[in-house]
Amino acid sequence: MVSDLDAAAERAMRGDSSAFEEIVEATSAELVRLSARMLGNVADAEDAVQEAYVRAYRALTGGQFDRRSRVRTWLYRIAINATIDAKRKRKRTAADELVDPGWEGGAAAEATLALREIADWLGDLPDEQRTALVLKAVDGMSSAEIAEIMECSEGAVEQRLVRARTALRQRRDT
Amino acid sequence: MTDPREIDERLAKLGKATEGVRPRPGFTAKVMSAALAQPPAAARATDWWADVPRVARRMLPVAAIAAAVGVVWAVRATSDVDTALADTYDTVELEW
Repeated sequence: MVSDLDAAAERAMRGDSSAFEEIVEATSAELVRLSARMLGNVADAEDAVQEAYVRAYRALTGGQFDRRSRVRTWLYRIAINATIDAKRKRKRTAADELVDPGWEGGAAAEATLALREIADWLGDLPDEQRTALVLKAVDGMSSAEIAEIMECSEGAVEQRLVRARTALRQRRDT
Repeated sequence: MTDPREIDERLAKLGKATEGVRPRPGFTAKVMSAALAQPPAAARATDWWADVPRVARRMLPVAAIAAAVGVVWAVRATSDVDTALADTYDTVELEW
């Protein structure tokens, strides 16, 4: 079955930029949330996800999207790679800490602290382990979905999760 | 040792606390302006060299030389076969 996103991607591949805008509208919240959980703040996550969308747009209009996976899965993959790239490059500055998170309500302060807590807690894990753990335990994805996004077997996902949990337990117990 | 479920429970709690995280207003417009600022796809298609990974770029001359040697070898081998065939063309086999 072709999803709305897949149909929009087909239109975007034919040069319809409004179709790509639909894709961004439909997926940006979940991708920025995922990226923020890995980077620890919304500002850096927005930059990383914007870079991911630029890569995706280039691939779609350049005929490089091979349709082997669903658009949502493919976007997750690009966003995770862009987030990992951003994490390697950036050094958090004091200015970043002061950026207004931009969402309303009393949850903002709690969310800001929680984002930082996730990023600090998992920050030292290898990229593959951190990604698998965030997708599984924070985003609540199944191992099959994670395997599709990370382009590996479910066994490999489970192995990364075990290693990540072991590392966190050892760190906590020492 | 810490119970692994404790880790997942703590992460799930943090996940719940960050469920409301979303991009700031104007994010889509910012993304679209960055995406559309890219050079057109046709222009990029000609810039194929930029998409070749650095390791592959280094190996390209080696691959080109190997390919050239292969072509020369193939041509010479074919030519030897042709010569051998030509030599046997006018040969009369006599049966006793």
